Amino acid sequence: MSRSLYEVETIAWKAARGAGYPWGIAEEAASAMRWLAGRGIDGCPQLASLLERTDGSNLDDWSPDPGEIWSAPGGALCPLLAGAALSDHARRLQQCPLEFGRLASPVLFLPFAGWAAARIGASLQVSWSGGSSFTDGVRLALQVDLGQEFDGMLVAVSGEMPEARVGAGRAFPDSRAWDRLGGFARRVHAPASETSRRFGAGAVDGIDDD
Amino acid sequence: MRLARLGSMHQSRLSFMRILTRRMACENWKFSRTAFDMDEKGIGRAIYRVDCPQRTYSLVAFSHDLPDEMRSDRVIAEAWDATFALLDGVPDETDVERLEANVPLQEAGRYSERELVVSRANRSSRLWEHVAAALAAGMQPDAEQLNAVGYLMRTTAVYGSGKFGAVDYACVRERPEFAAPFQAEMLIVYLIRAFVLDLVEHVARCRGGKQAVPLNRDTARKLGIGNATGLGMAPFIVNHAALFNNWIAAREEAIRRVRSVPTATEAELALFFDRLQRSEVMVREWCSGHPVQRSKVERLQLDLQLIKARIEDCPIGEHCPWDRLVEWSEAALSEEGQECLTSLILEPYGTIVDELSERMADPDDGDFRIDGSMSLAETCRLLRGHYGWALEIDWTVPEETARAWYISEEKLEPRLGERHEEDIAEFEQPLSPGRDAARAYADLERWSPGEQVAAFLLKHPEHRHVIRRVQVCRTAPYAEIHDNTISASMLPIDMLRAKLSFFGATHFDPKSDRWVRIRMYAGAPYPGELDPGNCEDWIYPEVVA
Repeated sequence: MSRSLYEVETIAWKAARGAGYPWGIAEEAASAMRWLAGRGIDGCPQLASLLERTDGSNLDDWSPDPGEIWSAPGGALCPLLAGAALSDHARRLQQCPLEFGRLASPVLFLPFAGWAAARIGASLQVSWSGGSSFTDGVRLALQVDLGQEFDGMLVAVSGEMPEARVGAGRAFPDSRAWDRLGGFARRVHAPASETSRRFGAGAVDGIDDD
Repeated sequence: MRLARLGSMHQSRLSFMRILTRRMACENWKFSRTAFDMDEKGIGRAIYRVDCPQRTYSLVAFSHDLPDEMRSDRVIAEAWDATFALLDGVPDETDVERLEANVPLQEAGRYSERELVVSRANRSSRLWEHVAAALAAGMQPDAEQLNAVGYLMRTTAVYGSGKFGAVDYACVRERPEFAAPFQAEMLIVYLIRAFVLDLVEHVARCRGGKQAVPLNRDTARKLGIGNATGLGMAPFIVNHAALFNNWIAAREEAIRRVRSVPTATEAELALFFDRLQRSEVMVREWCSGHPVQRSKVERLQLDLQLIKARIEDCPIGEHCPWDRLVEWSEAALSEEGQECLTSLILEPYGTIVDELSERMADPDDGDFRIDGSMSLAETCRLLRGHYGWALEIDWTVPEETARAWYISEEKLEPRLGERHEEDIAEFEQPLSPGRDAARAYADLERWSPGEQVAAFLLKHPEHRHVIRRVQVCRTAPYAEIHDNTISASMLPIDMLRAKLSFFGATHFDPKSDRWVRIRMYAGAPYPGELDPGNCEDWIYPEVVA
């Protein structure tokens, strides 16, 4: 089924929050999913897998410790937390590449590389064992499907910007992944009660009498 | 930007309805009804075609047989008197079948990139039957009853921008006709109004046969489309901070330009005076059953008299007359009166005001990247500048956090709950920027001012959403409401009023502290009647001698 980019953004926002991320990171998840969808990439399967892995765990275990290699105390980095750190520390890339340790759902990391590239006005190459991707913030060059997890990633300024993916105005998310995200998204909705139904929206009896 | 002031705003030249009618008239848009297949009860479908310079759009309307007991303005309703879609292009039979299977379901339907907007409307049970019966009997309806309601149908939702699968705004924003905000939404409502008039006359003809008469054109023009707006709209201006900033900034810049005008010509003064007098008529007809709004309207009537008296006492032709008038109003008038006046002074100055409508969209669609290299000293300075009011609130006092915004599972309706009485805190939406800024500030104070935002957010991801808002304020000074949006005394209708005034709504009639009825397009020329001579002043009713 075809979805609007707004729908992709919205389900990601709610699902990330539903899985326990802070609102600001949920906003990043929403923007990242829209960024990917706008470049013809369905991020839903990797986001659903990520949320299933991080659900109920301490997010500090998934957050990067800055160092020579930015890695997670718990083993694998969350691409949303690591990605936010990358785009926040974008200016460091002007001095030297940044290296990240083991990373879950790596496709979700690419939008943050894009935003870091836009911030410093340069193309960035994101490399991993067996492949790489390029982005200047608007364009994304990525020819292979990214797996579920990478052992590490290197982000470096690059003079190259190979042929980019064609932009997309619609998303075609995997329906099973969509439903899995829907499960997380529903957690942000308060169960209906008669009190909230009657008063939460300000309704009183007889409102529709004219 | 306080809630009470936002809750006193009025339509102006920069309202989205007026931007649209101006464009439609100046570009000579063509309208035609290409299908109207209705039975004698007015049940069936209709198609209206709109040709603008580069493209064609179509309203596809479905009219239903709705039992009275199912007619509800609430978002939780599941059936309506009429349902609509605005389609990109001209529908073929396959499109109509697809729409017929989905549009009547509204939120439960699916839409494609061909659909720009989806909407629905209910008949005013007070007025619809009266008008249909009168016309069928060969008589015109009672003017008093028409004025009291003001519309034959009211919309209860207008969904655009990618909702339920419809096209994303980003995909159409480059089209000149959609460059200003909410233009597709305003277009569908304009077309719905034309459809509603056709439908009531059709029903009257079927009932009355040769005896039936059409609605008098002047009477028809006074009718708008009603709209019932609830809490769902209130979070919008918080969630779209940069966009809302652009609306306010455009209006403020318009006011600044007019206040800088050194002298007013006779013609400019005459036009202002004309709109002022016609505003009196509009305010006289503005009935509200809500005690707060009723007293505000009464005071506004007085304020309009005070403005007239002021102009008569101190002729205002020279020495930055509008600046002096606005300065005087700040002590002499209520907020409702001040806001009405600032809208009115823009009226004679289309040549310097109207172009500002091009700045009202948000080119980034709400996306804002945090600048991690900003120092915490600068962050704190910005935070104090834009949230100083929030730092002065004692957030441990229960009344200050009495409310919590949440989304109900039921049809995903935004609601407002009592935090200290219901189990809703865990579902709270991030709609309290003031409290969240105060929380972030408490942690920021423990950090060295020389550190950067990037390091702070690595340790405090829970403050990320509010740091983003703080940074948005650096270039968008009107992004934030400077009031507590979760206090016990907060009135959500103030937030609704602000947004609806930018739509160009009139006759605000709050039905509680959290939902409001309004009129849209009351006074507007219908398709085919619109021209450059009447596309501006239609919103002001004529003074009857």
